[in-house]
Amino acid sequence: MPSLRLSPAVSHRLTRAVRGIAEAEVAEELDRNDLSGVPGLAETVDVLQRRLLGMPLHFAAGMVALTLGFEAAGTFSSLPLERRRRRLARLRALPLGPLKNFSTFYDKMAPFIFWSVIEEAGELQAVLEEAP
Amino acid sequence: MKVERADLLVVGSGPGGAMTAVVAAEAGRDVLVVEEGAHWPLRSAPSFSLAEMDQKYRNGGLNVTFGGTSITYLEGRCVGGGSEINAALYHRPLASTLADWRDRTDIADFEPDSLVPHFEAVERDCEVHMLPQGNGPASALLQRGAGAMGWSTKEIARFWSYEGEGPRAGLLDGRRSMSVTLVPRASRAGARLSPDTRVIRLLRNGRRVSGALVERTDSEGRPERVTIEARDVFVCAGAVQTPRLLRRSGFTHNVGDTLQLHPMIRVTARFREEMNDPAWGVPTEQVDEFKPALTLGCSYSSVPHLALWMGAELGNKRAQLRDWKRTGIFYVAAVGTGVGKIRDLPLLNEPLVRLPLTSADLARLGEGLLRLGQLLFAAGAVELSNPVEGGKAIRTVADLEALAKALPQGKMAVSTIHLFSSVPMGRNEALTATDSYGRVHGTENLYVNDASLFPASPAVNPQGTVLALARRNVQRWVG
Repeated sequence: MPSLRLSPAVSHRLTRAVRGIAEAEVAEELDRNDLSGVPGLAETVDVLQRRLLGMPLHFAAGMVALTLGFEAAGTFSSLPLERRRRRLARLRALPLGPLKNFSTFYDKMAPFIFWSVIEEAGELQAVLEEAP
Repeated sequence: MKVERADLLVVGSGPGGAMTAVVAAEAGRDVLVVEEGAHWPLRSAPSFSLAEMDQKYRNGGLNVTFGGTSITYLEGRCVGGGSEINAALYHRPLASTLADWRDRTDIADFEPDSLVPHFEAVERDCEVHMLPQGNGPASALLQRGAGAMGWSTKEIARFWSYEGEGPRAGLLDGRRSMSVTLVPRASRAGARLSPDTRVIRLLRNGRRVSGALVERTDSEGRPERVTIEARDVFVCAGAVQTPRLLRRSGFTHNVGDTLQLHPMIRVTARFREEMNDPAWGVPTEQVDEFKPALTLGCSYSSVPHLALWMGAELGNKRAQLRDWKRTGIFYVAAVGTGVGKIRDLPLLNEPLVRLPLTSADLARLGEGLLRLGQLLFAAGAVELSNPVEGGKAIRTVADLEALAKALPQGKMAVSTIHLFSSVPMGRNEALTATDSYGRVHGTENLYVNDASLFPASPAVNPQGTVLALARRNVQRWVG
């Protein structure tokens, strides 16, 4: 069955947007604003984007549009992590609606995927024990 | 276009399809099983891992209903279907549940005792076993908490083999899913299996179905359309995909209008003692004090899964996750009262599933949450996550009481892997889509044989009931 297909240009923009959100979610998980040396980030972004595009079309289309819109409104991915985390926190506080679903998707899936990637790479204990 | 032929075409290789294929093939019928998903070895990926979700779950596990509260539902999409990805828990439903089904839609030849030989055969042929010795720490904790409350618990058997050396033999790798039990048995009896094959539509000719138009994808991803001619067709694609295929093939009477499910909510609970040992796999103890309406239990609680269910209310996530050996995921599963519809729309690759989480469901889940919290605190829990987004951490039973009385719509993560009743069976044609043995009303040779047939909830994990019911129905077809 066809899943959502994007042009290379849109796909590139989407990857940047997903990376921006995924990094902010991981920063929230680890409670730090510097992700240098944190393993598994690239794979987390890759898996997260695959999950996004693999959803049923009627969800994927809306989520991709919101993700691109979120990025476009202030080049989210280029903001410092601290600001990105604050912006996501504001999003979480929204009442019901499409943006709420958007926020929930990333809040749930990004941590799950990040910790799965870390666990599969055998780095779980190291990342958990690292001093904040 | 290429044409293939079979006496019997079986659509889907999950529990219903695998059982149908075994019984028909062992009776000497020429059987072809088509499966939309791929044929992965059982241990191609660790259970509940990302890789497994990619390989074996439909849409990576991200299917969601529409309604006041979105409900995430999981479907297997691989040879063996849902049996490859679920917790493999086995139940027989209560006799009173089966009697209710019989009366609800007037099912012929459906005395509860009549299914006993089929359940016995399932337990033997699909290797249903209890743990050979002892139980894991999470189950022991559940027992302790229930004991303190004066409630009963029960170890649930599994489709599992615990053979091997040592006290923990088979705990992680003993799953006996369809891909290692009934599917190979059907193949040994001569059934042909065609994975990566999606049925586009059934070929209808008046009251008969002459087969199906399918699209088969080869190992290099090239699709090929094939016409399969069959004397009879059994559709066993699960409670969402079965009605979807029937509807797009022109069979719509009571099809896809009555989907039901078991909504489930989860909390994480942190204890002072270590209680989470992944080597035990899925905890098999359940609180059965409140059955059939409610089931309480413990889920597989790896760090990634804990991260999925922990909320920001617990504070620093990494600090919480460092304590993962003292933290578990616990669930409340309810018999849902909502009834949903399954519809395809042009250009969409998956159906729209509309199913309300009713106020009665919320009340039932709230009651379950309160009971679960009472049990967990009695067992020594220090803190629970709040299933309501934006809620505060739960540290006392009093915290729970107000919350449990008014669970809100749209602000909880609700999920399910138990879906059923979308093509109900029985003699009452005003209420049902098939006769008492799964033959679609108004047809001569089109059958359904999966959880879609249930007239209502089985009030337990459905896989055992699907297998027993499928065996009953296909034995009738074999004659």
